[in-house]
Amino acid sequence: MTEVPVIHGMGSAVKRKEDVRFIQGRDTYVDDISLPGMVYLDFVRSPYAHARIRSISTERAKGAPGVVAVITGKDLQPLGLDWIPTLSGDKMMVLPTEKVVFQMQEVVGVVAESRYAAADAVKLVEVDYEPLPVVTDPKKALEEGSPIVREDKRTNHVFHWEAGDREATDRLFEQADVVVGQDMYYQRIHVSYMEPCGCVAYYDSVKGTPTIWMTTQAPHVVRTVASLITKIPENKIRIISPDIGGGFGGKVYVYPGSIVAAVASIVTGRPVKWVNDRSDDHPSTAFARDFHMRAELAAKRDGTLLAFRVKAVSDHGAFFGDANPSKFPFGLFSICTGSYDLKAAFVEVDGAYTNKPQGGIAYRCSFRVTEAVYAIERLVDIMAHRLGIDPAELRLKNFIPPEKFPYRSVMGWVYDSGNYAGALRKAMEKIGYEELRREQEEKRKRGELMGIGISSFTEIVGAGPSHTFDILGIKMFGSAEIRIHPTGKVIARFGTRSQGQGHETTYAQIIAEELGIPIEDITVEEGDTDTAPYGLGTYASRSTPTAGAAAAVASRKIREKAKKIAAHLLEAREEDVVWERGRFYVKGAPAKYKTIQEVAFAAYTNHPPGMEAGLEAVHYYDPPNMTFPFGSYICVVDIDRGTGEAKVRRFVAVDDCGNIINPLIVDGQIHGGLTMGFGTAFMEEIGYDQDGNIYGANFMDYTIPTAVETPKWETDKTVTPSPHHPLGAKGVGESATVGSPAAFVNAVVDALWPLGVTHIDMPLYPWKIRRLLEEKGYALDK
Amino acid sequence: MTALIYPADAKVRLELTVNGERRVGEAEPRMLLVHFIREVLGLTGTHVGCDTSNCGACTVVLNGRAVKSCTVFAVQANGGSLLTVEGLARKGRLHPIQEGFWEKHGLQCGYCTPGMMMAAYDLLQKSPNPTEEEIRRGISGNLCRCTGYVKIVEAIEYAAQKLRSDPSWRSGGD
Amino acid sequence: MKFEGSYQFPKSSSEVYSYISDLRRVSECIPDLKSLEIKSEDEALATVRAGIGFIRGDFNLRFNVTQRSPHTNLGYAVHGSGLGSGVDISITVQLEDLSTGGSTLSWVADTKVVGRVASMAQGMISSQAEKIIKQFFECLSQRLR
Repeated sequence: MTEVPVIHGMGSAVKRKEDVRFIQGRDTYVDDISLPGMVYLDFVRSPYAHARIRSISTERAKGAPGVVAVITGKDLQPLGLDWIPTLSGDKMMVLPTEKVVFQMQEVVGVVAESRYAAADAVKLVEVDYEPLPVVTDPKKALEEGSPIVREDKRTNHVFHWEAGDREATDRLFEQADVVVGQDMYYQRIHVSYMEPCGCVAYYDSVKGTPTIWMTTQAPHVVRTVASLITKIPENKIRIISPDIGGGFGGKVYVYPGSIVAAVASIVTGRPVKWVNDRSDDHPSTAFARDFHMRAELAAKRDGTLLAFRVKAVSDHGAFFGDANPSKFPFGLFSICTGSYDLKAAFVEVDGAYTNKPQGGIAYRCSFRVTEAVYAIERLVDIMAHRLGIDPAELRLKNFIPPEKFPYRSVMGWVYDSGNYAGALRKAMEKIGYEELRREQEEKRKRGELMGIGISSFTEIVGAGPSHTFDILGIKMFGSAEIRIHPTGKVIARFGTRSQGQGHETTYAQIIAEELGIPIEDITVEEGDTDTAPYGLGTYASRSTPTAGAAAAVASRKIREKAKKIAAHLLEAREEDVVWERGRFYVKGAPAKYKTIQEVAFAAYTNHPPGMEAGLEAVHYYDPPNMTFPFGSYICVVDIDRGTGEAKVRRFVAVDDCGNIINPLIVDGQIHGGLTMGFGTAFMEEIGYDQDGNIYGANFMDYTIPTAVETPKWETDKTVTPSPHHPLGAKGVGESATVGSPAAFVNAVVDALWPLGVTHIDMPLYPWKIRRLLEEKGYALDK
Repeated sequence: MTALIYPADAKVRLELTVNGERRVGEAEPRMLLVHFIREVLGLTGTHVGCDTSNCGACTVVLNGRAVKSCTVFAVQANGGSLLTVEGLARKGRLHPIQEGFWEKHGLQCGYCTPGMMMAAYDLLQKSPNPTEEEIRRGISGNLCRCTGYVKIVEAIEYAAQKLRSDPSWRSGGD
Repeated sequence: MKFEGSYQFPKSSSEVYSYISDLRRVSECIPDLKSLEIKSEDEALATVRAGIGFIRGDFNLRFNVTQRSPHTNLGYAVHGSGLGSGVDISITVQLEDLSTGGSTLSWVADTKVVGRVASMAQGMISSQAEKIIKQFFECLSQRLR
């Protein structure tokens, strides 16, 4: 037998195919696209968070050098584009005609020959505002007499949502020996992808075809919605998502810039580019979290956890735009029983409109799983401290045991597989947990503050099964279309869109694994609605569970046909032909074989009589269930009693995402997610003052971690394959952002617990800790 | 630097060495260097990530020093020598920094990568054998939202080692 | 943001009143004035060069006299826009004759700043606003001495 080629299939830590262009500056992001005659769109933005527009005067701007068009909400009104639907069944303003509802909202679009000319002309537009009372606190927004953000709704109440069994939960709380409760605020944050949002829109008036290159994670959804709104036939609309400089959820949304650019292109007949400045992007694009909750946990005296309940208010800004599956107005928050075998749980959430931009889920959160994990993992830690049981021990005692999988939670989810104790024990061993606890005890005697925090999270990703999951009615399947060329090379297209996750490599590895074709010979394409199969895009860690599975199934369809061709070539009966990665041979005679490449050639040159020529397959994969990645994180912090700084000394992350396609990429995803979790825990916050002025409008005062603050992450893994996924994979993109914030906070609170501190809201700024130390008489002056 | 005074609306003719080649272009006096690089020279590998000089996506090497090209006017680069990501590889051979980022998975979305590599270039010129601490400080003006920096640090360590052992990369070329 | 202050003058309250109720004279004390247009005895439009931190540019102000109670009270409203921001200042001035001769001018300025300036320069905004308002009253008091 000849040498089997290295194909870099499942499990290979091969370096990424896409990197060749990125490291040489040959990538194509939206702002890199330049078309002949292109003009630039910039926006007049509202300084007020809430104000009635008395008048808009555009005359001076229209007369300014280089200006080709000025577009207001009144111009969009006759087109029915002054408001557009959101992904949650609400609607959002594109440009206002009556009033503005958040600070930095787009008010007037100015189109000019250069970006400098557009920016100049923006200053010449005069808008006369009548300021209105502002509401930025969602709890106040729900009170009687609050200013109404949305006059079309006449109330600031967006929804009330419940999950679980209220009565059973309340009963267990009454019977419990110990109940702990905590008010917590998961602050508003911005995902801060490095590439701000933008688009290039070009309407070809002869063909009647709008083409939009845009920073979107879900191009097909954009196309369908655009067609439904504008009545432009869907085959004429082309949405292209080129290289995307990070998305993390923030680029699922469609922003006014894209709509106004498209209209401006129709008006001017020229290609129109809109790219946000960072200082425009932060205050006007989707935010995440902003979630006020009261969480309570009930237990027996021996530490058996019984029931969990949460009552919460979530802030959705001025438009309810969360890209949630339609049956889940508050996402998958009901995963909040986490890794624990509880008897009952109940959650209720009220959503509120406020004078802020829309938001909620745009930050690597798996549809609100971040908030759910934070709630349960904080409360389990508080319970452990209250009972005087080690937090690791309490978790080990209450984990869902491996033999109970598939496990139906009291919230109705069926967890596919898990070994929670395995992951936690591995993390404890790796970090030297017992030794650290001894060290902590000694340090406490010396007055030093050291804390150890654990988070044993369970994720829920891979949305999702069509019986439950859709967005605007479109089922959340995954899609793959694979075509083998005569020479055995492959083009594969997907309905997802990588924003750095490395799909060009991982999808190629899946196909390589299934078809025995080296990844060098496989080209992966995504993001162009004219060529890619329909798909809902990439977010919520769904690409591997859905499109990755579709790649495997489509490959297997190809293999079935290839087997028939191989039998024809080998002059054998099909049932006697055996597949071995990359080749078919006749049973018992492995020397007589045909490679997949030879079979591919035959598919176009010498296919069996009566068979269709060609070798390709399409598959739309409907996952039978969600996947449930999990892990245990342990964080060690030392607190400086002088400055209040909590320094992360070590952080061990043991993740289990089932079978791994590329360990290098999985590591990278976890490192990135941990860093975002670290940013959330220690430095990131979008605040608003009572007038609705935003704090954190750009990187001057919205701090994200640099290389200096970021801890050196230590990662490890356990492997518990998903029983229902064709590859046994589960998805990993968001595990670390979802799981880590609780570990950081638990560590800091663990350090401060002997001082009587039970909770600190994120971000854990040094000044907050310093102030607590002062209150407790524990601060040192340096 | 001597004061540069230009009429605000005039276009200025600039001549500079870009990645070893003589290039000529016109710019308004207020045009930022990054816009000149991207839109006049057509070198779109250098990116814009913010408007407050915080993110470093636009980092290039000007006259041997890393600068944030969003904080420099194009006219200030007149007569100078500029190295961008497109000029890192030589004769079809990847620069060890590029190789390091590829080998060590030092990038994900790729947006910060060119700026990050140019900052690393500057760092390794000044400090050929940096400690991890020095690397982390050296790239602290460059934000990355994907990687968590661990693999970027490894990539730069890889490049440092490679540059020390391969003298052919030492002499200039920018 | 509320700022306040008071000055004493050798002049009587009616003399002070007649000076500070004249919009043309008062407007001359607006700091960094670039242009001024008096629309009526109760309204003036001004353009000022303003800046805070690295944000600099022109600000358009509408200056209105909102209350006139001869010899005792005056009210001004200032509405400004520019730099992606909005400013509203409502100023009340109270005059009182002193038994020793001369008079006291007490002022209270209620200031609201919104928009880019407020969000980007939050740490500096209150001291900057106070500085500008104090400059204005300082200028008036100089002229009244």
